[in-house]
Amino acid sequence: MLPLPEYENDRVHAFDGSQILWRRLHREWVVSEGGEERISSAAFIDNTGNDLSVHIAALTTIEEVRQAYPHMRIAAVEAQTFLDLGFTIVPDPQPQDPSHALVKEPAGHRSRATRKRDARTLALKAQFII
Amino acid sequence: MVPEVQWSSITPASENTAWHRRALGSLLRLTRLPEAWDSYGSPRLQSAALESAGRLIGLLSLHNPPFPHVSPVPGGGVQFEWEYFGRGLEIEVLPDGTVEFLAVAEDGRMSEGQLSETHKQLPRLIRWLTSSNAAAARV
Repeated sequence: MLPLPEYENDRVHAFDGSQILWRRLHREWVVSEGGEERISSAAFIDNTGNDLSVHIAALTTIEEVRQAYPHMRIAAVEAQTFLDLGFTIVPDPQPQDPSHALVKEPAGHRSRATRKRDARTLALKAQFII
Repeated sequence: MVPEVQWSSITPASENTAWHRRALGSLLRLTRLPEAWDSYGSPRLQSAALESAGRLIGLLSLHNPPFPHVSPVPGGGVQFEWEYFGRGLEIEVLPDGTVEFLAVAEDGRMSEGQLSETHKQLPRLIRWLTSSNAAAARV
């Protein structure tokens, strides 16, 4: 039997739900209300057709991310939160960033409404790291 | 002989409000974001989204809603969002200018849809967001 393509092979191995993922946040996604901050769901929507990019926290440090992206803040999301919504997480190490991973949407058609609901759920569960 | 004609522009009352000016200011601020502003390669705010969002602000200001947070959305869109006494409302202008909403009630029930070009549902959504009457709090 032919080996699975590398991508499919990645999908076969379930991603550890206890891993912490970091999503970089643009300052416009930080909502300040009544002296408190929350994260806009816009941080978890992508209308470009691309997967969501994240860092696997165990494979990097805050300092490394800040150095590469000095104007960004960081939110942490437990991988299980993505998995519970049907997303697949695929490690995608880059030469400059071994911690890079892709969060892929569930297979099949997802309505815009579902994508918005999921983005809101993720924003509510994400926590500021910096 | 052509009589002297004087022109004066007519500005709808809504466009003079502080709410309207502040909302337009928030939107214009987003037009200054460069390519790949989000560090993930997103394009800038798209012109169709900008025009549509400007129209939306004009219509919203007629209903005097609480001031929204205005966020850029990866792909070239923009989102207006409110959290108001336990209710959430997100109105997203997509890169092509179409407008969608998601309303979340206090108990977590969600309702979503697309706003028509005339945004006829807008008054009802704002009433729902700001109503203190639980019985009326249906989208």
